[in-house]
Amino acid sequence: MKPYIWVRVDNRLIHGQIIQAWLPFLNPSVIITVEGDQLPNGIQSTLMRMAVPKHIDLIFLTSEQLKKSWSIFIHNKNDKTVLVLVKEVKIIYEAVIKGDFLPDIINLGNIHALDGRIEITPYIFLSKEEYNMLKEINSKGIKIQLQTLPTQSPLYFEEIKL
Amino acid sequence: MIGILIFTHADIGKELIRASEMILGPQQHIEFISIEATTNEVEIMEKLKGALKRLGKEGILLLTDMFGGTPMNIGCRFLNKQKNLEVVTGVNLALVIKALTMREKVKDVKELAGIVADYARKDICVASSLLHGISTV
Repeated sequence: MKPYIWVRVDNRLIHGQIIQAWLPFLNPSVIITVEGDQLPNGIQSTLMRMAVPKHIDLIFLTSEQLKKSWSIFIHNKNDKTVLVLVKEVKIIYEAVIKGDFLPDIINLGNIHALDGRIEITPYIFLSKEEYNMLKEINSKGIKIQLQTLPTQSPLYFEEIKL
Repeated sequence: MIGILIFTHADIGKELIRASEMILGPQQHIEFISIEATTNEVEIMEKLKGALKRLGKEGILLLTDMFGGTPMNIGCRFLNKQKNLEVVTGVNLALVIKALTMREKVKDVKELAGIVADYARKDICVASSLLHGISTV
């Protein structure tokens, strides 16, 4: 059976909310992080490994690797849940629309205010371009939720407007 | 003097400085940076760069609140850029007070970081187990 693939878009990748709140809630056996075109440097990857409990596998991929080779990393039938953390909406868009990555759900966790991004919730800001990317992903039947912490009730993409 | 920067989630740093000054009186070369869930990375980096420049002339101790949290993750990016910088995680009041009182004597940041981390770790205990067998009445 294919594992449940739970994707989160979070500008901070692995941080307090992930370690303290989402890992106990989701209980993934694998975490994949994608920052963009580059892999984390030695210091960053060491710190992330130390912050994540030992029984969870941690894999660092580039956007390109997620798009082209995700299935190599998500294949073990013993894995029930795989948590994929991506830094930006664009990364997941490329993987789903231009590649064949098929997540079960996409969670929008923390996307911070930057020029051109419009406030959707206090934690989620989207540009018009990002909104349209998500709309295209959503139209393929992939559920998208806005939920920063497991204790909050999720808001679904269909409910938001830009 | 070694500068001290407390970099945390919410206003922990601000309040730790206030609490330290309650005990030691007004202090110099100590600042805080608070990050909220909504603070973007660009903003944090700018604040951090500014504070490191102001405080880091004779070394800087960057105190963050939790291992693996954003303040630590971002702070560690400066480890190979900023000279005489040490990042210590798990800041508590005992640690801040120790750092403030020891930095005149210990001029080496790495040594100071080691001392305050050990001290802060020892400050955490279960009081009842220390008092075992002693009447608390």
